[in-house]
Amino acid sequence: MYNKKKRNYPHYDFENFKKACKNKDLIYIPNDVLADADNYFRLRGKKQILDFIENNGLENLHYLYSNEWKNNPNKNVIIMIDNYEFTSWGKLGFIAFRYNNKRNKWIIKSFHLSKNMNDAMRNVINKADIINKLGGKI
Amino acid sequence: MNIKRCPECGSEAIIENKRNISIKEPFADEVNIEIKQNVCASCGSQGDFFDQNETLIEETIKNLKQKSIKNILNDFTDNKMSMSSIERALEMPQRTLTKWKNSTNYPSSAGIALMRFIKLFPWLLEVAENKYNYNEAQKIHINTAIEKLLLKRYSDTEILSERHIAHITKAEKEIKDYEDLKSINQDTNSMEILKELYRSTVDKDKVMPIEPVAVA
Repeated sequence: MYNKKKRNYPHYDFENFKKACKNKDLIYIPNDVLADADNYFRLRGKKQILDFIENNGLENLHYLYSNEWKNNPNKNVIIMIDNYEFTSWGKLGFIAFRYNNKRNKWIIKSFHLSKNMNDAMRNVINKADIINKLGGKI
Repeated sequence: MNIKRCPECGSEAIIENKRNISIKEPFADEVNIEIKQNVCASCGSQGDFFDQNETLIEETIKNLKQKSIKNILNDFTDNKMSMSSIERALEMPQRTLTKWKNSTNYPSSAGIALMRFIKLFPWLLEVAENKYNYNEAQKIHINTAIEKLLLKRYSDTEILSERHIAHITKAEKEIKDYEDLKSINQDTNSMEILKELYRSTVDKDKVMPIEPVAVA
């Protein structure tokens, strides 16, 4: 499940994560991630988020990169987080997760809109001068 | 004994506190509820470590959705929209809406979404009444849009004078005449029709200048 050598590839098998979403006891979602999922994707609560992932809601999923968990209290052990982008009804989303093998739990670290999407949208809005056409306000 | 540990780092240094969150549903009130929150002193993770709040949150959302349906249905009644007519137009079993309103039955998510759409776009009922015919649906949609555009044009004037009302009536008649002349078919671009209708009805040359209305 955890692959320390291949740094160019995901550290965890996404299919294992998806399968784990069937059992909510195997997943932990922090408060800020729950709030983002509700705010950006109208997914309310752990159950809705897990149902969405399990039922292939993360469309066009592609792996971005992996990074180290910065808040790890045990600095002797490196714990990696896998970051992915996905689409859902025209929205470009971002999801990050990791696995805690000691607690046998998957942790969803992020679930929000991708920054790439925001930049792309901002560029289009700037180019079309939409803000000025709407009287300086959106 | 089952030791409580942080799901992120496995630390036992967990602090439990309470906090208020607000839950909101369209067409219903906002409700504040108190939930338990765990904070890990080692890694700083904050959340519901032991799934203690899920049931409470789900129950609150369910109650709010129920309330939202009640509010929508009350609004229909206030606006003289008969429930049996709505049920007939939408081909729903009779008394379904009454059962939803009286909490005898709980609507499905699809039912809740449908009621919200009808609340926002009541003309969808007219589309259903016309058996979802594409051309009729387009006509209804465009007519509603034109009516909105005309009203928006006069929205700056708080009180509509008789002259303005007469003008709106005249413009509406013009739209109807225009539609009689140019029947809408599937091949026609609806946006073009909308633009043309708008131009022909609210063109500056045709519209009488709006004069301020003296308030007695």
